Amino acid sequence: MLTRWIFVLLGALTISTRAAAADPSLTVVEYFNTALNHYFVTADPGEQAGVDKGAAGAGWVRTGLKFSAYQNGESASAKSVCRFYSRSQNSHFYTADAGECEFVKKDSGWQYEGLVFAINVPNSAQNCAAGTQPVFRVYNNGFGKAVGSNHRFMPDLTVAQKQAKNGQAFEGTVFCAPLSNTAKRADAVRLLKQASFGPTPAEIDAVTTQGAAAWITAQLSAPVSRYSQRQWVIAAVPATCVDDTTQPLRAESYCRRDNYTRFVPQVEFWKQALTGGDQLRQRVAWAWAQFFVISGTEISHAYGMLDYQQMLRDNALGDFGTLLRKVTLHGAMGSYLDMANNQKADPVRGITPNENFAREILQLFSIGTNELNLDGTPKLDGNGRTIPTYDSQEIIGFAAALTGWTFPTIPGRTAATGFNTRNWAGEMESRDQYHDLKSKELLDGEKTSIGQNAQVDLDVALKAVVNHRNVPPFVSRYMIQKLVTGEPSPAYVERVAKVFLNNGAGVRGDLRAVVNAILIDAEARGPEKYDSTYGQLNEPVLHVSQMARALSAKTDGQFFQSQANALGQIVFDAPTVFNYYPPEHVIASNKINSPEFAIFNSNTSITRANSANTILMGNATIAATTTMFQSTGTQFDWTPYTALAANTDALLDKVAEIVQGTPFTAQAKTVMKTAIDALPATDANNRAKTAMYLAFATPLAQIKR
Amino acid sequence: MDRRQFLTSLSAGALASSFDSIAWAQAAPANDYKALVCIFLYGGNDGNNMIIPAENSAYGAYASVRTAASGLNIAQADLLKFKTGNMTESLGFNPAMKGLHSIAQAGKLAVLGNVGTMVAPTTKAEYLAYKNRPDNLFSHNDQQNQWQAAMSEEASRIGWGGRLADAIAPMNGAATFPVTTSVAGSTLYIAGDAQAALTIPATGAFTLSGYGTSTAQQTRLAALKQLLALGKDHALVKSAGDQIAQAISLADTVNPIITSAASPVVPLFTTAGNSLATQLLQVAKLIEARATIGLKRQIFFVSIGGFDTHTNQIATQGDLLADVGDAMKSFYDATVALGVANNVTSFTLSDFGRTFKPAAGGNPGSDHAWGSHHLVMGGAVNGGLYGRMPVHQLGGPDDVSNEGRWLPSLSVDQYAATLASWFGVPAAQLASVAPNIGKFSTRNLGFLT
Repeated sequence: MLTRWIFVLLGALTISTRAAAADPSLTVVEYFNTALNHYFVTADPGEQAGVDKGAAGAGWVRTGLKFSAYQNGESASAKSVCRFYSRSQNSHFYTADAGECEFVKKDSGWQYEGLVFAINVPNSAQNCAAGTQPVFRVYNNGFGKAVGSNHRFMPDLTVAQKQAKNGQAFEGTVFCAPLSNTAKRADAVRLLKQASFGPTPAEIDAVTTQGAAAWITAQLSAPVSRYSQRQWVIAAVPATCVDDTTQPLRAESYCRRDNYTRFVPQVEFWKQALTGGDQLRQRVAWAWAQFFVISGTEISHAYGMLDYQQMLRDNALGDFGTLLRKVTLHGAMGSYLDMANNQKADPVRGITPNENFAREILQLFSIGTNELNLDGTPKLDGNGRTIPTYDSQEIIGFAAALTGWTFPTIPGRTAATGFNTRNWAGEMESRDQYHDLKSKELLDGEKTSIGQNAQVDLDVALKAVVNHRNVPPFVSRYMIQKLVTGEPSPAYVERVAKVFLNNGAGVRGDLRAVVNAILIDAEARGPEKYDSTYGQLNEPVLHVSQMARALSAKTDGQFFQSQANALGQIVFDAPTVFNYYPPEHVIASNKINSPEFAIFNSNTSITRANSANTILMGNATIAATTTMFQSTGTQFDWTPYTALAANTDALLDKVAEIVQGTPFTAQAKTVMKTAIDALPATDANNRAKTAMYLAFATPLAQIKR
Repeated sequence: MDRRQFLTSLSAGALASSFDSIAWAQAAPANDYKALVCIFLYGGNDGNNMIIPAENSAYGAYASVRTAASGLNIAQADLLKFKTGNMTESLGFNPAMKGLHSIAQAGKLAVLGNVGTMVAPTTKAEYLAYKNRPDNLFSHNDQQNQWQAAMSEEASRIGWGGRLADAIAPMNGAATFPVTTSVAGSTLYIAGDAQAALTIPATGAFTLSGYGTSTAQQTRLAALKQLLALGKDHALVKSAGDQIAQAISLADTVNPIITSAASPVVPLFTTAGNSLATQLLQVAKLIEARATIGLKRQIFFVSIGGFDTHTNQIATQGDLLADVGDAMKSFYDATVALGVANNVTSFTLSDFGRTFKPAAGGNPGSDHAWGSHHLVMGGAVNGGLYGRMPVHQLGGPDDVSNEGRWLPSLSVDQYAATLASWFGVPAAQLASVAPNIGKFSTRNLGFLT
């Protein structure tokens, strides 16, 4: 329901045509003066116009940061904000606390200037209510110095914390700025980019209505999508197992492709990622698939990959220790990193226990190579050097502790007394005759007792790993990087790591709580972000999935399976256990930690633009294929965009909302308009396609921020 | 590049004395051309089974650990033996590397015996006392980065190929084409401060699709290019936009070169299914087009993965080494055909070596180790052995463990510095490429003329 409000405000006429009933009517605009090194905010449009024209003196420029507020009396729950001016400090101060206001009024150094706007305030735990965003106060510690005392009031925690690191004081949340409906939609878009495979028009509405917290809570409990289960197959393709193209197809027509390649897991991944209801779980599972990596280049048979990926999905939001145990014991991982059929030293053949899994469970799956602070930064020794978490003897120790495991017994067969035949589905089984009984060195000097069997040693070894102090920051930082931003502030990592340590009910490693903490954090939420390094380049899979979901794709998955291969991120086919790209990748030119740039280069930047061309400039319907049983093809819904296509501004605003949440800049709009207006106003399809293509072929859509 | 930029690029080399460098950093003579081709063997190639001592006594030491029963033995009779240049004893190639054998016998291939990442010259006793240890030895990504950065302490965001490109940029005069080209995706090796690298596909071209000659399409293309120049106040937007714009602007020059089917080097690469050969063919085509590109110095990066042979090593590594040998042979022949054999030097890098002692598995393999043997190939190469083979003894003088993890006899810094010297970097400027070269007394290993 649209309501038309007209406010006459300090001589300026503000007309808000699309605002919902509760929309705040004021925008608090922030200014900075380079000469003074001071910040200033004002909600008064007349004053803003004056400051813009230099009426407040030279040097005041808008920072771009802003937040909403009410007029006094506009909202029953909002508090009026007192503004003060200090001539000696040449600085303004604002407070919504009536007591503080009265206190400052008594200070002769500060001149009371009146109640300038109204705004909500945080509760005693410094939290803001749903529908508002925190405004933080940073103090420059300038009293008695040449710069003078100055407080900054602003809505971006990342920026605030960076400023605080430079010798300023972070003073916490002082206001809770009401969000307009447009701002809520912008935050909904950001959330859907972080926590799903991309915003759909319908999901933006749903998140805006429910609010971020409620949507996340519902997602955490959504029913789990399921990959199909396939039977174990013998390693070598039998001569009878061929791809039979005879129409009509039967479920088993493509015997070779469907059993001996990654086709089925990839097709199901795309179908479910684009259309599944458990978006958050699937997104987190995809992050785990790039953390606990097995690659289809070796685990090439569908039954094993499907079983492993379902296991990741089932445990994606559970207990970290359980997840790590299931990864460790899975037959596919056992095969990929050689824990299966690993055995104690053999003096006759001169063979020593294989170190492959032992090394990677420590380096990649849990603690990393260097000691970490809780905020994810490396601990340093007296010489400023990083401190290794383990040395060779620990690797040798874990390798020996994890000997004596073999593949899961193939269903319907009898377990071998020795090593089982290779089987990539299910949990491995112990064979104590191959287990090393010596005492093994684990972490921090811990040693296993002599003579423990394979199961006991595994329990002891996993416990040592899971309880290591590095796990909370290591895992938390990784998941923040995957979902939100490539270079999270140490404070953000620490807030999440603390939830990893304790979910509030005394439980460590509760991934549901960890994911929730990542997504509700003030560094994740908010309608606009201002830090120039915030965010990430969409990984190729998300680049494709966001296009598909922007068009509410209905699909059997086959089209996307065939499209995604050119982008340098073939689903479930990472080149090595080190994934498609490393979390620590730094862009050489600007030193920013931004993992996805590790696979973004002259070649792949073009293939990404070309995937936008294929998906967005192509047909709205991709016919069912004759090469897949029960294929339904792919259908895109362009109507939200074509409906507006005759009006270039309206079209661009609609496209801007789904790709970045906020309108395109005036410059970008002008450029895009030339391309769209080169097409007749009646050509709705191509106008909509052109707008969407230009967004997805460029950083407009590819950079999430 | 103006002088200020030039000084900036050198200062990134930490120890470079910028002012002396002006004198040498002149544009190269008209007929001067040199290319370096880095061949990275991802996963950690087991040098122990690539270059094997062939003489009875030394082979006996090898075979006492890698016994026939161990499942990790290469039979003495199967070795492809060679003894050239300064070598006092024969060595043998893995029998899969037939392609390289003839090049070695012709004296155009140098073996670097047991080279690795090092902080400074180090003894086994010092290593055991935790002195001079590279960060995160035995870790794939850390050691890959250290080999590519020629820095073994702390992470580097640029590689020594990129530093070398920055340092020699003035030799390329006014040419604007990127000095470094990867045919194997983005990689640290070619990342520099001043130079943006080019990354080309291993096959085919990188062409922006969807653009014909219609007004609407051309207007859209113009809009696309303009959009890439906007929003640069956000660092990630700028990085992404710059990258796409660079690719679009270079595609027109590069695509006709790398898609040329008429090139005389094409028939020399008859190695179907060999991804390294496919990449080296692209390099050969770019070298063939050096006059069009206009550079006097070029650095290339190609790679082949799968060397992390914890199990099933004999078969897996054999297949990979066959690909490496065949591809390098094709490439050498291509440089001969193009008349630039003396101007092009190819060399291998890899994460690390592997344990001399076999590791358990259905078919055994080997685990992560340290020093390993590497190969340098080209018409300018003085064939022979540089550095030395380790004493093949578990827990012996060269083993810092009990599993055969060799303390390197040569450092990556020395390896890089020798190649940089050949490329034209004066001795006094080598630290701009290999920042820690000052720790090593020998800065030119002498394997290039």
